[in-house]
Parts: sequence; C-alpha cells; structure tokens
Amino acid sequence: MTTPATNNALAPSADLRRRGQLLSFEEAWALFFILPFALVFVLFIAYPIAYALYLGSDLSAYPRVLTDPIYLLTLQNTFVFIVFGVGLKMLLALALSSFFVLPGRGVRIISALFLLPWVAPHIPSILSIRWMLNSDWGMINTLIFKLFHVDGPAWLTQPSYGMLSIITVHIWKYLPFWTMIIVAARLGIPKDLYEAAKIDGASPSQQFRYVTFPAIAGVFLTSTMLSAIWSLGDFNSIYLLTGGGPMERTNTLATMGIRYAFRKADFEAGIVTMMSALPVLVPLIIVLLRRLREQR
Amino acid sequence: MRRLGLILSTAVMLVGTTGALAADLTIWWTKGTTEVEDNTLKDIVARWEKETGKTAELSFYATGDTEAKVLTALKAGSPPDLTFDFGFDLAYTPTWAFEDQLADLTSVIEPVKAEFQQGALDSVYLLNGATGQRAYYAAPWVQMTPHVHYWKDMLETAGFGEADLPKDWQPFWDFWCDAVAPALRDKGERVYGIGQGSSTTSNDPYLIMHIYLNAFGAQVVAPDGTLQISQPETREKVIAALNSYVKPIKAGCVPPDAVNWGGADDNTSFLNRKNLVAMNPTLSIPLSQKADNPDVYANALRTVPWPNGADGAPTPTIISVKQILSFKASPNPDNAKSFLALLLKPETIGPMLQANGGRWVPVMPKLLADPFYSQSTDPHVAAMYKQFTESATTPLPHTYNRLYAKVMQEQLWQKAMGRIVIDGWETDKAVDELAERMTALLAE
Amino acid sequence: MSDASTALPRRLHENVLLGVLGLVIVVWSLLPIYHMVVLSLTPPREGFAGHLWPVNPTLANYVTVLTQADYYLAQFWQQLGNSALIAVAATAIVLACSLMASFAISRLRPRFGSLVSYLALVAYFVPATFLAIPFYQVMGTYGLLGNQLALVLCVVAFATPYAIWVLQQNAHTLPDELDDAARIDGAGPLQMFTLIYVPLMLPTIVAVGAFALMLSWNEYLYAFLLLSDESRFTIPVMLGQFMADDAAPWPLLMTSGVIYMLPPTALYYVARQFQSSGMMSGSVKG
Repeated sequence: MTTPATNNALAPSADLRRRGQLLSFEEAWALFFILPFALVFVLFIAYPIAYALYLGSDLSAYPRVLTDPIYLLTLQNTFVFIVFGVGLKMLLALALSSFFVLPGRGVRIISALFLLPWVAPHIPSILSIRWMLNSDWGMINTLIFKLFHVDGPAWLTQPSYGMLSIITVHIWKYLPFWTMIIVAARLGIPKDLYEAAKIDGASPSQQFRYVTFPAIAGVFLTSTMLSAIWSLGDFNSIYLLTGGGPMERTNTLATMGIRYAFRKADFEAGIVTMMSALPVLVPLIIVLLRRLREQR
Repeated sequence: MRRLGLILSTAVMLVGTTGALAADLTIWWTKGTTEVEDNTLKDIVARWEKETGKTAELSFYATGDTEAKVLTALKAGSPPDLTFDFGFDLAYTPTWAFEDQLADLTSVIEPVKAEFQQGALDSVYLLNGATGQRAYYAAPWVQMTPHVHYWKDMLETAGFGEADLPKDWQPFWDFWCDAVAPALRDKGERVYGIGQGSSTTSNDPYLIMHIYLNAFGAQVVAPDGTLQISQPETREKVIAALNSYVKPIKAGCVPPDAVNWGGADDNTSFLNRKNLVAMNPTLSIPLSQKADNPDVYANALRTVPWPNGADGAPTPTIISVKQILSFKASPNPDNAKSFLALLLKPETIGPMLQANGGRWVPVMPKLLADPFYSQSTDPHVAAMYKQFTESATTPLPHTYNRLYAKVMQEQLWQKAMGRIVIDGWETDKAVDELAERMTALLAE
Repeated sequence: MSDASTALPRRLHENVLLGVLGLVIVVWSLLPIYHMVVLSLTPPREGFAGHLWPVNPTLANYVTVLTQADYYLAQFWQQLGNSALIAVAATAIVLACSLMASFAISRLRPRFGSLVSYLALVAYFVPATFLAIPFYQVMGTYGLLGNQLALVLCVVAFATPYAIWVLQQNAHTLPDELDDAARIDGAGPLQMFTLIYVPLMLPTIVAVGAFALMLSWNEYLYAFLLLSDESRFTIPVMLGQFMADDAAPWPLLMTSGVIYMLPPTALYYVARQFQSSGMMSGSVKG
C-alpha cells in the first residue's frame, strides 16, 4: 500500500492546502461527505459513552456493586469465559484453518456448512441448544436416560456445567468467523515460501512452524485481541442459554450489568459493573489501534 | 448521490411513520395464560376507546418483562399510564407509594369503595413518605392464593389412589418423592416428584415459601412490624420450613433445572408431565388445558388444599391482592383514571373474570358470591373457592412492614435456598445470612 | 498438515483421517440447527419427548406459523416485515454514511481524515453490549423509546464504523490515477463519488451491506430494550417472549426460527459467490 505522504504529493489538493487556506476546496467537500457519519458518531456513540462515564461517576453505586456477593463470582466467570472461550476458540480456529486451506471440492462444501452457525440468527439457534441441553426433557439427557437409565448432568443449571455450556455455545457460534479470518490470511502467504521450504526438506509441521505461523502471527494476535474485546460484550451466549442463572451463578460482566440496569433499574450499578472491564478493555483497544494503524 | 439521499429519506420516513404515534392511554400488561384472558382486556380497552373517542395502546409482555420495562421506563421518566405485573404488590408498591412515585387513585376508588373486600382496600391504602398521608395508591383488581396440583392419572399409574395421600405436611411431600415417583421410574418413565422452584427469576418460590413458613408457624414479621427472624424460637421454625422446602430438591426429587425456572417453566414442566406435583399461585395450570383437553382438565388434573401444618392444624394460606398501578409521571393521568373507573365497575370486571375461566378470584364480595364461584361444579374453581372462603389466611409480611417488600425485591428467600442447594451450606448458616440481610433492609 | 501450496495427491489414510475430521466438523456445526429442524417437524405436543429424529414428522407447524394460526404468532408477518424494514432502512443509512465518509477519508484526504478514521476504528472496537445502558437512556432523551427508528439508529451506530473501516481499506487499492484523470476532466468531488467511487466499490458495498443487514436481522438485546409493542417487535423479540411464557409451543418457536434463518443464509451464500470471503477479510487485516 502506498503511504499517505506520496499520495498527498500527487494530489492537487495538497498544493492548495499549502497555500494556507483554512480549508481547501476538497476539504470543504470532505467535511460535507463526513457530516452524516460525524452526526451518527456524536449522537449515538460519543454521547452515550459520555453519558456512561457520567453515570459511572456516581460513587454511591460502587459499594452497591462491590458488596454484592455475586460480583466477585461474576468477575471470576468473566475471566474463565474470556480465557477459555477465546483461548480455545482461537486455538481451534488455528488448527482448523489447516483443514480449510486444503484444496478440493469436499473441503469447500464442508466450509460452507461450517459457516452456518455464524450465519444463523442467535435467537433461534441458541434457544435450540438451550432446549437440547434441558436436563429434564432435552434431547441429550433423554438419550442418556434411554441408553444408561440414569439422569444426565444438569447442563444449564449446575453452575460449572453452565459455564461449560456457555463457553461451548460461544465457540460454536464464533469459531467459523475466526477460522475463516485465519484461512484468508493463510491463503495470502506467497506460495514460493512453501516451495523453498520444501526444497530445504521441511516437513509439513516444520512448514507450519517456520513458514505459516510467522506469516500469520500478526493476524492471529490481532484476531485474538479483537475476539477478547468482543467476547467481553457477548450477551446472547449467556443470556439466551442460562439467563445468568441458576441464582446468578453464570453471569459475566455484560449480563450482570444489563441485569442491574434493566431488571433492577439500577443504571449506575449496571455501568459500574461493566466499567470493571475497562482496565482490560482500554489497553486492548489502544494496542489494537496501534497495530491496525501501523499496518496501513 | 441524489439517489442515495432519496433511499435514505424514504427509509427514514417509512420507519418513522410506523413508529410511536402517542396514544391517549398507554397500558403495559402481563400476558395471560390463554388468549381468552388477553382478549377480555382488549375488549374493555376497545369499549373505553369507543365511549371516550380516545385512543389506547395496550401492550402485553411476559411475566417479569413488564416489571423490567416499567422499572426502566420509570427511571427514564416515561412510565406507562397503567400497568399490571405479578411482582408489583409484593416487591414495589409499598416502596413506590412511600417515595411518592405513584398516582393517587383515591378519586377512582372512593366511589366504589363499598364494593371491595376490606383486605383488598387495606392492601392499597398506603403511606406516602412525602406527604405523611395515606391514600389509595393502587387499584386492587383480583387476588390469588397458591394452590397444589397433581396428576391423578399418573398417581394411579404408579399404583396408588388419592386415598393413599397423607394429610400431614412432610408425609405428603415425602409420599410423592419416596413412593410415587420411584414407582413410575421403575416402569421406565423419567419423571420427577415435585416442581419445587427455587429460582431468583420467578416470584412463585417467594409466595410458596411463605406458605411453608405458615406450615411451621414461623412469623418472620410481627403485626407491629418488628422483625422476628433472629429470635431463637422463630429462627428454629424458619430453619424447619426451609429444610422442608429444600428437602426434595436435595433428594433429587425435583427437576434439576428448577433452580433456574422462570415464572412459566414450572407450568411447562408440570404440564408436560415431567413432574407429578406443582404449586402455583393461580389456576393457570389447569385452565391452560380446559379448551383443548377437557378430559385432562376434568379428570387427570387435581387441585387440592395444602396439607396440614407441622402442628396438625390446617395450614393458613396467604393471599396476594394484585394491583394496577399508575404513576405520578404517567403522561395521561385523567385517561388512566377514566379507564380504571370503567374497569372496576362490578358489571365490567365481573364478566371479564368469569370469561377468564376463574383463573383469578374477584376482590368484590358481590362478585365472589356469584354462583360461578360459590356453586361451581368445575373441580378446580370449586377447590379454589373453598380455599379462599374456608382457609385461614395470614397477610404477607410487607403488610406489617413496608420495607419487607425489599426482601422480595432482592429475592432473599430464594438466595437462601440457593446457598443450601447450590453451595451446599447448612440451613442454619443460610438462615444467618438471610437474617443479617433482612435486618439490614428493615432497619432503614 | 500441508498447506494450499502442496496440492500433492493425498494418501488414502490421510483422506480417511480428513474425512473423519470433516464429518466431526459437519456434525458439530449442524447439530443445533438439525435439532431446530427436528423440533420444527414435531407436533407441538411432542416437543418434550427429546427425540433424536422426528417420530411423527409433520409440516403442520409451518402451516401454523405462515398462517399465523397460533396466538403466540398472531403477528408473525407484521413482525417479519418489521425485521425486514428495519434491516433495509438501517443498511441504507449505513451504506450512505460509510460510503461518504470513506470516500472523503481515502480519496479527498483532508487533514482531519485520519482523526475520523481513528474515531471510526475506536467505535468499531467497543462491544455494543457495553453501550446498551446509556444508549437506552439517550434514546429516551431523544424521545425515541418504543420507536423502531431507535433500533435503526442503533444498527447504524454499530455497523457504520465497521463499514467505514472495510471500505476505506479497499478504497486504498483503487489507483489514484483514476481520481487525477477525473479532476483533469473537470469532475468535482460529487462526480468522483457517484461516477467513480461508488461503482468501483460495488463488491465491497455488497459485503458491507450484507454485514449490516445481518447485524440488524440478528439483533436481540437492543431490540428487546428499545421496542415496546408487539406490533412493532422484530422476530427475535417475539421469539424471546417464548422463553418466559406458560405453555409456550416450542416446536412453533423453532419453526419460526428455521424460517427466520432462511433469508440470512441465502443472503450469505449469494454474497459469498459475489465476493469470496470478502465479508470477513476486511475486518482483520494484518
């Protein structure tokens, strides 16, 4: 990609600009073109963020949240959800990318089916899993009872199984997206690198280690960070599956915050709960901004 | 560019026109169990629109959703004109009245005061902390009391008859867990005994727990408003009641998902014959079968009185008077009152409640005396009428101390159950935690 | 494990291994969707039987849903229409805003361009759930609570930054000479936008548009919070109501779910033909 500096030298607007006008002709137009987005940004992103910070500045909300016995558990759940949910998902995505870069019609068909969880709307697909995992009448436990004549585990209502189910659903839903991101990156690696490696007698695993991984490490890291940020905001995988229950034992910060705000009408506590993620969220966003801007 | 602008403006206009056109009256209501129930209200709304020439917008939400919507809208300053949900009387009305958030409905209640039962009137004659005065801050419209249901046909399949059912508290519950459910399981049926919910997302466990407390004679709040839970005698009774409540859960006699049941899941599980016994505050369970499965309604399902308490005497039940609220910040107070005046006429609400099949009990003695209830041949309505007219009742503790509503708001009883059945705590430790929090809430 | 470059004939046991892996992937991906379809073919009364396949398969549920013959689905078509209307309106606004902004940033290159693209990137990173609480209150301030426009604007707010980011990346690959030639021919920014930029960006527009459509079609949390009358609900909100309702006919819920899944699935496969993997590739460039 060309750098902005050389582009500017070519563009006539750059000349105008140097004449010291406040706004060049094209800049005035640029302002016009940016206006709709600027409006959207100010009214629906910046203002809500500012409002959130204002609500979060209510100090009386902090003791309410911090003394709630569920809060610590929620932090712990969030940690487990991000570490295992994102970690496993990204490792699986990396592993599966080796399958999906293979040539052939079969792989193409499987990849089309593999993407369905990502394409399917959340509500019906996650509710389908909720029904399937119902310990009482779900397909899984009915099968277990038929085969072994015992009651299967309470997949959704025993807190540790609940977290396991939540993480599984999260992975089911988002694995395809990240796998395809990595596949796209792998397909972009120049083929002659592999040719050269093969001439040097590199085995497939050595090729992966010395050619593939170094080439996609950047994308992998960026993707993992981005996925961690978005997973912090994953509401559906939890809410639609366990609703945060039983007894609030499977909440993450996102569902707990929403619960405070919209079930208990305590907006400040909701914001404070979510703001607990800022010490992780802000550094991640800063690092990501740097990474993505540098690459341009 | 022009084309884009055109698309943009058309799109905005299309959406805009379908958006909210402010009605003269906004009502947020909790969906009934059957279509009929919602239609009876819709009919009255339509009648009001016709009589006044004004427009009303009636929105139905699932149980709990109405409450959540109202809570947030109230905070955002845009509450509806009228609303009903199951949790209001238990958790919010006394607090909101005290905080001066509710509309004074005295002008609606006063003219028809003579029609109401005194208890129903008392439940809405509430103290306003801002004025220091009591007034009618809610409209009582129906009442309910928890019932016990079981599957008679499954009891028989298991090899028992109704005569085998013990009359006393613990033996009654144990019978289902130790005799009936195992007998059915031996026949290869995957069925649980009791639908004993313990979830914080449902109001039912709260109500039913208070019947358990009655069965053990545990009076948590004395009539003078003082909290008794920490007194040794009461504490022992509370522990006994909680132990009785969680016993089937710990014994695996309750569907495991009951710890996370929402307000409707207990109905769902029971109606699909996944458990044998259910406890429910209205007749919604049998009524959902009446239209499509009259035989199940009449013969397979039973509604029975609560077993006798620990002392061998009949267990006093509790009654919860359901309320319609209007808020100080509601946009159309006059329309709200005019609608309530129409709804609360005996000749309006009487036929409405009968059309609902008897899910609700009227709060007007004249209506309850109607042969529809008093001489019902319907097994469920007759059982309900009997329970209402013959059982002793105790008021819910928030009647004695408005701050007790916060116990419901924080779902402290369910949290104590969770401590025992999820975290494996001993009951007395869970009761200590419960008592500590309750004391803090009532000390305000 | 070999890479795309090694198109050597694979050995038999490798093929068997890959076949097994492929099967596992397919079962894993499709099981919940299969379960949804099984329930949709199950008579409503048997939804609790937990069968592995429909024992008495019937299409009756589809008839019930499509004719709105059940109380829970009494406004199915209206709500499906709401979903579609909101998705189309939101996508139109997303495309308009993002095309204009990305054009300005990448082709007109104003001094404040990098600031704008920076802000768009930040907005793209923020998890939408974290803004739900203030967004709800801000919508209250704007008097839009309960109005479908609120949901449209919500999708616009969350999809536009992504769209700008992707469009901007692809815009950089358009040669500058095109613009220079246009300028020499006396074209102003408006002509450059309509005659050069928009037509050349068409493949990306399809990808970004599909993204916005799907985001809107899927949205549950904001739709639940912002909409407040059954006749204005989108399908996800209506389906969510099943979770909290007595005796809710889950086979009908799953049937509506299967129907609701069809448009995005079709859209996805069409968009995929149009620009292979383009829907995602823009989101994380490294």
